[in-house]
Amino acid sequence: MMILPEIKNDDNWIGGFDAGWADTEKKLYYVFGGSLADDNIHVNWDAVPPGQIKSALDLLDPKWNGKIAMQDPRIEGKGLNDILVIMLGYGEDFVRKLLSAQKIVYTNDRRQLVEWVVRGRYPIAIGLNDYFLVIFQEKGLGKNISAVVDPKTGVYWSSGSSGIGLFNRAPHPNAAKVYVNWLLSRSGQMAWIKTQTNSRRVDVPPFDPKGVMKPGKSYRNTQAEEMIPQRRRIQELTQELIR
Amino acid sequence: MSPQRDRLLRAASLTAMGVLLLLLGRVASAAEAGQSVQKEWEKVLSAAAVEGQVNIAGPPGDAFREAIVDAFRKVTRKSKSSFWAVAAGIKSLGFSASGKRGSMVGTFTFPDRHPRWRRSSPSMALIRLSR
Repeated sequence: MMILPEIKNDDNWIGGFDAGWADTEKKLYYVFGGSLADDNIHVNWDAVPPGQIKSALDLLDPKWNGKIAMQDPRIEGKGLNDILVIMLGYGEDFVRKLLSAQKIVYTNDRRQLVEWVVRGRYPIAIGLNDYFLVIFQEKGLGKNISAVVDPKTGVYWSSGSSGIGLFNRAPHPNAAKVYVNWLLSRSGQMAWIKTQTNSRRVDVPPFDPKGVMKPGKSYRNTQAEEMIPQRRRIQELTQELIR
Repeated sequence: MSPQRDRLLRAASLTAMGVLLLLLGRVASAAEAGQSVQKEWEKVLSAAAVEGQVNIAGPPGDAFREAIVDAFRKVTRKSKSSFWAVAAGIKSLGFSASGKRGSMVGTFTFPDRHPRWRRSSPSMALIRLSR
């Protein structure tokens, strides 16, 4: 399937080519992009004094009660992924306290979540998608919203939509081969970053330099198959705590 | 020239020749491998041109369609690229079950659903990408 030599050249990928497999067998689903998952909390700094939120731990302060909004983590998406990363970094008890005590407001509407933070109605967000924030910021709104970079969660990354698999019995197997090889080539990845996502290829400039994984450092993909138990656990927990 | 020095020089030149042949051999085998990859690639391109279409599933929204599907159409002018937006794993299942099988980019969150696909419905399984 992967024919072009440049694709399987370890030198072309952060962490080498094999670091991209998301399935435990390393043969079915290949992840070619993604970003560090340490941007799980976004803050409107016009409404929150700078320095008051340095990590997820600060969110338990009673003064943020009723000030936090979140993309509903009961369904797949950045909300689920971010709270998973927070659980991996700070433990289940912490998540239990956060979701129980802080009167968090949930939405499935990613644009609405950004709008709430922009307007300051809920100046703190978990699961906020940068793609939608950029749309507001390009119009001059929410310029002072940014992510709290939490070093404790900086060992995780999320591949988002940056992966490829191929169903069996595909009707156009050779055209699919061309597509897979093109997509993983430098040319395909240069096209990919226009979706506002980082590529794992080292010869492709990042869309978001803050989210780039550093060569030589070890990271865990929160969306890989090996994370299934933790993912199931956080799903159970959020189902239990959010009514 | 002393016989000992003569032997040493002969040995040295034989070694140098051996190294040279080894290097040439490697270059030749790399070139052969390159040619074989090129042949395989050309064969795939020809077969793809006959098929003329690829089905791609990807994240909903314009960004993916414009950045990837349109770009792929440009590099494979003869191909028609169909596109279905897929939001999450469960929809990927629907995508596959509807018969629109093809390539799939991301979107499903790998966990949870994938092992179930393989166990319960092999017709929807992902196939091996690695060689």
